[in-house]
Amino acid sequence: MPLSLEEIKYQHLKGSAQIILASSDGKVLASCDTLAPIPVGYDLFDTESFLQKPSLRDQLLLNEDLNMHGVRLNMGGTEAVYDLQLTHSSKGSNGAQIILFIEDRTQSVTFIEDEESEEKLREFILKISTPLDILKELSLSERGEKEVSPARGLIMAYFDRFIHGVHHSQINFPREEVPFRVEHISVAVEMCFANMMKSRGLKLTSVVSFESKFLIGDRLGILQVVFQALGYLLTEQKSGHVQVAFDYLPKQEQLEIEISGAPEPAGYKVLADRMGSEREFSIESEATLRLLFDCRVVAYKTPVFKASVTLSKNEFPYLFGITGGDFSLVKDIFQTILVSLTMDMDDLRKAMIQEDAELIGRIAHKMKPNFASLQRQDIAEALQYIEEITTGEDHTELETRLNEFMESADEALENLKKYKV
Amino acid sequence: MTKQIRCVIIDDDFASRAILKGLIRQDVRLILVEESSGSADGALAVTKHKPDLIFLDLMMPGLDGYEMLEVLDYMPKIIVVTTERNYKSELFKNRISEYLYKPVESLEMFTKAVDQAMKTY
Repeated sequence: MPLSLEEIKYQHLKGSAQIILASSDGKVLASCDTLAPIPVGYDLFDTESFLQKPSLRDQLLLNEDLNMHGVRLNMGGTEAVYDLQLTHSSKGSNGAQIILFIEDRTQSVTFIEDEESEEKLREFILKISTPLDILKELSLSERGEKEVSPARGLIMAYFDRFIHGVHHSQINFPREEVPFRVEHISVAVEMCFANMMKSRGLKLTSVVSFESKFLIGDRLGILQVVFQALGYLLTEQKSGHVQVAFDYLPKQEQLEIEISGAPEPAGYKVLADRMGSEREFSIESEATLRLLFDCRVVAYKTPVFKASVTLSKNEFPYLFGITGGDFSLVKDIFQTILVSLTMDMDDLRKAMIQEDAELIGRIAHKMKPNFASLQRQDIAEALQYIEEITTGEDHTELETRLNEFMESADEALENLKKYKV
Repeated sequence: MTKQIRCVIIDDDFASRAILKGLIRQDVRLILVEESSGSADGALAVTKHKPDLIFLDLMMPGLDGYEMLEVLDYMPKIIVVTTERNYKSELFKNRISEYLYKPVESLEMFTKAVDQAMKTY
């Protein structure tokens, strides 16, 4: 069954947002009609659909590169009237659906370019403790590029909020209650920080461990706190990796965000003090910051698995051996290796697409000892073989070996993620 | 009182650095003064801190471990940490004190390598 209209409308649905649910062939199943009435059965893909009308395109300043996987109108941001996103949802009990999200941005303000406004923006940013370079990154990195994504739309909305604050000298924004997808926040965080982390020799991963149609809450407020925390870590953490993990606590109706890194001693405490007591957060250990945000969820699905198994000496004798049995150290190293391997797998996939044998060899070389450290000598040996192929003349076996490796490595990593760290 | 051995880790793989840091924490003689993810930063760290011991990965993007050894005028004891089993450098045999192979086999092996490297210290 598709979602009911009541589920979609939700009592706190923002007045300027409209959500339309459609079947995978474009037939509307439900619409909350906040902005315009769209009847059930309306064909979004019809040539006469409002999405296709040239007059509407002109009116909304719609970009021509409309596609089915993510659409944003006028990405320049200066004249955007509506933010529009189309998303295919193929998971979940309802089968394939399309979620069309339209947000009225008539209240959005333009980017500022004159010196006086720039100075006001700078002052404002200082007041809210978000590093200026992050804002610069947010405002400049994506402008002018043609590729569009809902995550970028979120970043632009975030930046609009800041600009709005500058114009109205407003620091504490009213809490919003809007529908959002947590995956977009996760991607937005990576988009904003990946390059900055890299330039500081740090690595960042962001993961969502649950499924839902969408959440309803203060999406920009959440983004702001995550940005603040990561901005602080960028300044204070000298090396290592940072992981941002999103989970949902259905009983408490809260979104849980855990930020794990390797800050300077007492780093998270300092961060917590700086962020004030307006948000509910706690420091789980000296290397983990836990943030909780009130959010409701639509069509929440329990994670396929939840990390629940404790690391044991029998299963990981190497880690226990080199740490002298220091369990907190075992957990730290285990998590670091797991993050490293996950990122290496992504790099390897890219190298395979590019058919870059030399790069494949380098990545295999790097991954080898890490799998061995987690008692997967079999996979380390497979990597050794792959590395040897890449350094030789004959690459005929490479693809087969890589595919075999990817299958066993993916399975191994999924299995390793069940351990509680 | 025994003088502490000040060491630097230079390795582009943060998982390897995490393991080395774990091992260093187990050895009360050692104190980590800096870790670097690249040889350029590593060379700066060595110049700045003048450590007694470096744990050096040879295979790194950009300037590799060999090239870094060539640019250093200050030369502490060096333990090469490499994935290549049984690898020994002929070219730098006078400058490299010991070898550890990833993943470092055991705490005992690590301690032994440090002992060996620092025996003339």
